[in-house]
Amino acid sequence: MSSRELEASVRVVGGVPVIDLRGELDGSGADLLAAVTRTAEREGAKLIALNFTEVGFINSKGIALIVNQIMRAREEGYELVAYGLSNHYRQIFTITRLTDFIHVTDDEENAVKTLSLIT
Amino acid sequence: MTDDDCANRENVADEGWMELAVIRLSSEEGHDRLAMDLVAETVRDLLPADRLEQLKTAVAEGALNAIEHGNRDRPEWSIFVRVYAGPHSVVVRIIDYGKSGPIIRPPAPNIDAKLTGEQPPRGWGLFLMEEMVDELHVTNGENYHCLELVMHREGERDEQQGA
Repeated sequence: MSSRELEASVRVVGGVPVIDLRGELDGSGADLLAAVTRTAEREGAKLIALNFTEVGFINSKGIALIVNQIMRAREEGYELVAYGLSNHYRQIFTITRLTDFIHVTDDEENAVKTLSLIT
Repeated sequence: MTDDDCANRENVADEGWMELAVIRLSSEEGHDRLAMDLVAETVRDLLPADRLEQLKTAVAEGALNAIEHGNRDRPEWSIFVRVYAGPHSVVVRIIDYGKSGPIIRPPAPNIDAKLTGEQPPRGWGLFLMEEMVDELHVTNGENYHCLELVMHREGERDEQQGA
C-alpha cells in the first residue's frame, strides 16, 4: 500500500511565510513539519500560513501535529492561518476546535490579508 | 471471526440486509488508508458525498486503532473489515485481536487541555469516529475488539432528526 508521504516547502507571500503541504498529514510528517516551521519562523513574521490545498488526507495523528503547531506558535509569538481545506476537513477543524486557535480562510489571498487584521 | 463477535446493535442477519464486503488486511502502516479506500469503493453509491467523506474518516480511524492498539502493529495479525447495507443503514465492522486489552474511552479530547499539556496532543481517534458517524458501538471481547460504525441512509436520517 503506497500512501502519499507528506512533502512541505516554504515561500513568502506579502510578508507572510506560507508552508505548502502536499500529500497526507499523519504522524509520519512530524519531523518534516517541524523543520519547515523553523524555516518559516526565520522570517520573523507575526503570521504563518498553512496551505492545505494539496493535502488529501488528515487523520487523528495529523490533528495532533496541528495541535503541536499551535503550541509552537504560541511559544514563539505568532499566529497561524490555514487555507485550502476541503469542506470535510473544515468540519473536522471546527469540531476539534482547532478553529478557535487558527484562522481559516478560503484562499491564499485572504490568508495573507489576515496579517493586516492581527497587526 | 464472525458477526457473533460484534454487538449486533444492527441485526445484519435480518431480511433486507446484504453483506457487501469482507476485507482482511495485515496490520501494517498504510492499511488504515487501504481499508478506508476499499470501504469507500464499496458504499460509494449508497451515501451522499459529504456523508461518504465522514464514513471514510471514521473507517480510517477505526482501522488505525485496530492496527496500532488491537493488533500492536504485528503484520501477522489481521484486521477484518465487514461492510453491510440494510434498508436504512450502512454498517462497517472493524475487528482486531484485542491485544491492548479492553477499549476504554479516554476523557473527551479538549484542545485547551492539550495546549496546556494537561492532555497529550494525540487522543482524537474515538472522538472523531463518534463525530463522523451516526452511531458507534464498541464491543470488548476476550480476544477481540469490534468497532461498529453505523451511517443512516438518506431519508432515514432526516426522519430521525425530525422526530
